[in-house]
Amino acid sequence: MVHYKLNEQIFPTNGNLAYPIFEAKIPLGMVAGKTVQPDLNLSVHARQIVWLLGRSGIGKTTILRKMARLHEDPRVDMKYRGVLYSQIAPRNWRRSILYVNQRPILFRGSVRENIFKPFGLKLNRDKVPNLDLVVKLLRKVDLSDSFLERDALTLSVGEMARICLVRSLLMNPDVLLLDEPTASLDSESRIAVAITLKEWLSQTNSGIIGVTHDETLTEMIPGLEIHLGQS
Amino acid sequence: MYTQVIPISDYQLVFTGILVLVTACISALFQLGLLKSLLWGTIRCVLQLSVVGYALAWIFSVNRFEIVVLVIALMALFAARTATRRTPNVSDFPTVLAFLALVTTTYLVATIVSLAIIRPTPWYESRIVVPISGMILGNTVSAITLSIDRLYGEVRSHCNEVEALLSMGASPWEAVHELVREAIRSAMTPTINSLMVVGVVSLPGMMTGQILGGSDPVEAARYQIVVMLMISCAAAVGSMILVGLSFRRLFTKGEALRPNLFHSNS
Repeated sequence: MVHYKLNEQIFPTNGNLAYPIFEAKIPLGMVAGKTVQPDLNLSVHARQIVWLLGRSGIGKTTILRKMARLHEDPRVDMKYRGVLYSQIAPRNWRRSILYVNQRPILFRGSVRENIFKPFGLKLNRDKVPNLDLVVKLLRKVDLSDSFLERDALTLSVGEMARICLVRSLLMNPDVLLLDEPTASLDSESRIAVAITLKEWLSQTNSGIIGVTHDETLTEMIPGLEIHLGQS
Repeated sequence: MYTQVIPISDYQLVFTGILVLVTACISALFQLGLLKSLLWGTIRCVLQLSVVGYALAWIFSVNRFEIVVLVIALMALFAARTATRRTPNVSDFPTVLAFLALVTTTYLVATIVSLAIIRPTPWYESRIVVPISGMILGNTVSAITLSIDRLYGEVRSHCNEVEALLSMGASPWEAVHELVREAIRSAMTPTINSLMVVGVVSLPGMMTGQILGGSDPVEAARYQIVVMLMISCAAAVGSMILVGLSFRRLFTKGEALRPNLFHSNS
């Protein structure tokens, strides 16, 4: 388990490059006010992936939701590029540290509308991706561009999950919080998704924190593994 | 020929006892267990309406602007308390917000109706404005109750979508505005539907009352047109205000969906 250490800042930097992208200290397993497990300490650097592993039902999803500030917990301590989370507006935080639900969430409308949904929001209006990139990404996850005009709610769960992943990658977050990204996929799409994620990691300066039970994924994208539920 | 009201004397009123008796018999026959409620209800009905009759008589004779304003505010307060009790989806619906929505809507719509349409002198003529406000309030209560209940219900059943939008960097408003639209729509639909069937399916209470009161049915119909349109306007304004005042309460300070949203008091 990696314990985060705050590096002493030597140079005055604008982008706070001296810090990891994301650091978190999250208390775990409080039962009746008593700590039964040590706190989860982790940090994510550019191009790094951290896997959170452990049995179902031990609260891995809740941890990701706390990181995305969708589940508020006053005991957590998180930093984005060295800045305390309370100093950052929730919507900016969430856009940079993007949580992707295990259940793919699509809205009424076409796949195209769904993929461009984030860019209709005030915060993302200047970041609209071009269609070429969209199509390239769709192909990478084994979907063709003919999907763009399809009704999003008629797709299979596996297709939906990949559409959601494409939408998330296009937002270009700094940290992607993935909750079982391959849970609803067949083995071929699993590999396509793993390859896509790996490429994304190596080409951007972003990081991933992932929850998974899928060994293909942890083998194809090796990273730091944190086993939860064992002390 | 239409101006004659047939007065009901106290003596005649006693004969409403026949109606109560019939109701009581049915309740007893089928053992509905409603006798006590019926008796208590009858007493309250007589008392309340008599008091209201005298109160209105006093208000009309004084006919002062401040009193009209105050009376409407009081009615809105009572209406607000009823509204907060009728929302199974909303566990903590503050009376203050309901009151604000109701009172603003009533002042606004009643002013429009009085100044632009009916034009009595003085414009705050209590004989016009108080009953009008009462009708606005009665209907706005159901509209705002529907809107807030629907808003909470929608957000609860679409919480994943709302959170997905928040994750994308949406503001609380951006995350729920589609659901807010649904909520306002559901509040407006009944009054708009009633515009279609009024007079065909049933005669509205006010128009019936006016006809019984000796008015020309044609005149009564004109008044009813004003009332119907006024009610739909009030439903729109009231639900918009209430939903606008309360959607932020679905979220925490940190712009996350409130976790206790999923508790209900039904």
